[in-house]
Amino acid sequence: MKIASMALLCALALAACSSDGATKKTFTELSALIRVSKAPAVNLRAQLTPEIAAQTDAPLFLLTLPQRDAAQALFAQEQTSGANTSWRSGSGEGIVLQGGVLQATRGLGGDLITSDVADVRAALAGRIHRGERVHRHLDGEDKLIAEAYVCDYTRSADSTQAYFQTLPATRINESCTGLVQEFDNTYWVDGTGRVLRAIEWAGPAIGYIEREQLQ
Amino acid sequence: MPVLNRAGRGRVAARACVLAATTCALSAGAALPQESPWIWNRPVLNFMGVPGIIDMPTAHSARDADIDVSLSILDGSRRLTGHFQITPRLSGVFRYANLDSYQGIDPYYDRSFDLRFLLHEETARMPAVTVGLQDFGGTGIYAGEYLVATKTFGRLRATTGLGWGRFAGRDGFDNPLGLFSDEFKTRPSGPSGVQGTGQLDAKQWFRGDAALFAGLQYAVNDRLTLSAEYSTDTYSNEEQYTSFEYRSPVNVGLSYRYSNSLSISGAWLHGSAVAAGLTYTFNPKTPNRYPGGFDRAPFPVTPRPPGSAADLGWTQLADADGILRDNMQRYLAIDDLLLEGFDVGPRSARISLRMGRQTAPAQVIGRVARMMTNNLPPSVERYDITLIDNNGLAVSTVTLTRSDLEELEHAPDGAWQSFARAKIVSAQDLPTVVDAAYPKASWRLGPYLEASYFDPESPIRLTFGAELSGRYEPAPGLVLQGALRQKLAGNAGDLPTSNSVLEHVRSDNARYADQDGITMPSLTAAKFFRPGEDVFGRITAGWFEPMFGGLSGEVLWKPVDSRLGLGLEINYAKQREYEQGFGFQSYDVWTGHASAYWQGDGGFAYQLDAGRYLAGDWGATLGIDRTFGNGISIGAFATLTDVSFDDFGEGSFDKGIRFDIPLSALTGQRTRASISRTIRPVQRDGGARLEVDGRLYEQVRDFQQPALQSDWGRFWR
Repeated sequence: MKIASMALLCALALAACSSDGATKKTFTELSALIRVSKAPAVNLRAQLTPEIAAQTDAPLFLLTLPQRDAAQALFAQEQTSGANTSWRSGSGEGIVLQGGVLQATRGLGGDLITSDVADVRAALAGRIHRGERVHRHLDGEDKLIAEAYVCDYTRSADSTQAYFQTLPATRINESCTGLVQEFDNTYWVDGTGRVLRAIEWAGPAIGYIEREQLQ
Repeated sequence: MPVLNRAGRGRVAARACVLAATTCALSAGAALPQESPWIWNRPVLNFMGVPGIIDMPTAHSARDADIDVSLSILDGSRRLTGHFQITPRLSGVFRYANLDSYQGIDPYYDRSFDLRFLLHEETARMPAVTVGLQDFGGTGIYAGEYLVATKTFGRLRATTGLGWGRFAGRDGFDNPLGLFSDEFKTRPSGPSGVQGTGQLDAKQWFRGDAALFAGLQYAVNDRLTLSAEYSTDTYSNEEQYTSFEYRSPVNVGLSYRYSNSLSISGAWLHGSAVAAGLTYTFNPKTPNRYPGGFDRAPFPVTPRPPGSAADLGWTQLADADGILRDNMQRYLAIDDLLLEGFDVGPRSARISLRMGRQTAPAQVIGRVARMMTNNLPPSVERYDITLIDNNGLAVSTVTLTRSDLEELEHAPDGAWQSFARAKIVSAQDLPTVVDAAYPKASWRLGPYLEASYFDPESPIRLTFGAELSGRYEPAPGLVLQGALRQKLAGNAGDLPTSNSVLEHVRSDNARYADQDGITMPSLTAAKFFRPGEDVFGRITAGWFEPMFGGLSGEVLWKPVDSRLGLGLEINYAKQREYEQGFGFQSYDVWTGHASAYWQGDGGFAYQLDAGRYLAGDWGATLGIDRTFGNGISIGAFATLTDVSFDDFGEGSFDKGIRFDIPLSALTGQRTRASISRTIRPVQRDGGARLEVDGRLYEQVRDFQQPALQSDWGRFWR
């Protein structure tokens, strides 16, 4: 975060009071940015109980970012549009799932802008064993860059933690190969096709996203 | 290509090595440069701050848009060099050097510019070939030209070149170009000394004796390169005026890439001295590791239940407009946007807004459209979103439909499809201005820092103090603003008095900067307006800048989808007193320009201004800037007027480089703050332009084509 530190120094040099508090806001956000790399590894999961989750009636999942010092956040469902559900965290990050599969992220830095996951959904339903997916990211110049991957799927019986209990599940491994990147996603799906837990690749800046459905 | 983290890069490099090895076996030893290991993905820089070995240059280019800032320290001199890869083949250099002593001036500061052009990219059989002009328009300490070829053989790179000028300090032979004309055989002694600076020494280029140089670079691993060269640069000036000793033409050195952005190098120079170098590399195309930034997630589109679009019952509600307007205002405020105008009918709604702290217009349009689906009744299908600039000037209106938003929100290629369906027109038909939008008032109290760089006696002069500024907008397009300053410290006043033979329109800047009392840098009233569909207008009166006040008028013709803009500006300017109160000195002038703006491909923008400058001189300024999609821009400009090079004085004509770096591009955070600087080798009185706030083109173009299109990837961000 060298650049961020430099920017903070610049902001310090510009520090001022003003009618709209813009400088102060900028300063606060820059400080927050520097903390991204030093986020304290609070184990949110350990503190969560069904009682806490029940305080809201919205569906919830817990998200963990292993590449960002295992930072965790709770996401609540915000909107449904066809097969797409939008989820939002208390700090303003967003996740879009399509049929329970990660379709997009927002506000995480280096977001997955869209992904074409039609084949993934077919594979989770057991209809295909090989498919394609396309990810789109913004580059440093705000241009959308598309990356295509070919993915193979294997299924096995397993069990997993979700909804505050251990549940029997079908484990589906997705192994994807692209031009410069390879990744392996894992999904735990129950008998009704519902995704209970997943570990999914969201691009080089974010890394993997672990998601555990809670409610 | 996505930004790879270091581990990713290593893996790719490793795979490339394996690939290269197999291909090598197949193609009988021919190295494939495009699959070279990491260390060769960009060239090592030499101690002149350009791709090279130690003193001698090499032929490969840096990566497109790379900016390398390097500091070289050797016995008797220090060089600070900025190298910018302007296009994949062309690069430009600004160098500021400090010699212990030169021609009796002690210490001596020298500014120089280079240009390099890659004539031929390396292929399997042919080397890379580059032609370079070093210090082509300065005092000529470093003046020299070269034609150089470099070929990669796996881990080894071999270079040989033909040099003129400084690169032919020894082993010179008759210039081979002498075949074409006898004029090439001798190198005329160009203008020298401070008075001759800045003139293009074209009569010297590639003239006089030539010499052959050569060198080898060996990549030990991905980070370390060893190098050796036979240098034809004899450091004769350095030997004469500084403690530098020249004993041998052979230099050896090493370069270590500490990280992707930082390299260090060391060398044993000419058998007598140790040299050390440090290079920082930055690419404006990838300013941070989190493209797209950390802006909080947008509100999702609210889908409509089937059939709801037919329900017009809401139109019967008392004050439906007011309720919807207040809701929109609340939503916009959450995302740091400012509502200016709003009205709604049964089937369509119009909204106008300012971007507040947000920086990407397409992202703002996408977010406002989604907020409209959150708040407006299902029957409202058509959304007209108008962007208002910071001076209250309505620029463009983007029309979207709710059906498209619902359909494309999660579509894999939704950004491009939504652009194809959006209608972008000049803002003409504006919604009713909301009561809360005007008057607008704001103020700021904070420090200010003024800097001038690279003058002949000091690398940097600073003035530091406190500034109180205020701004008041009583109605759309009407802006009153002013500032007061109190200097606290600074060394700008140490400059000697100007020796300019022209009116001292700029060269007394030290006297303006060195005031001990409270000064008023500016106090203006401005009116911004739209006289026609594709026309923008501005009238400004008051004290524009520390040195001039008066009256300024400007019109700009810039259709919403045109790459071409034409402008005309006419000013009456009167020189202000050094104390920067309300008073004026006796000098006044009519000054103004006709301007043409052209938005070229690849982010290159060209601007030509022809007219009369502050000192009454007539001429033209050409500016070329490369603007990256994230808002970072880097450019250069030069002005030629009817003032002779001699009358102009040091530097011969006005020129400089400029850059603008939005902090949001560096950090990915939402802020409109930016670092913006113009750097001139020297500030004189010829070719000087009036500084007026709110010139139109800069404000208008971001909200028009092609800027909106290049930004559209952020529509759903």
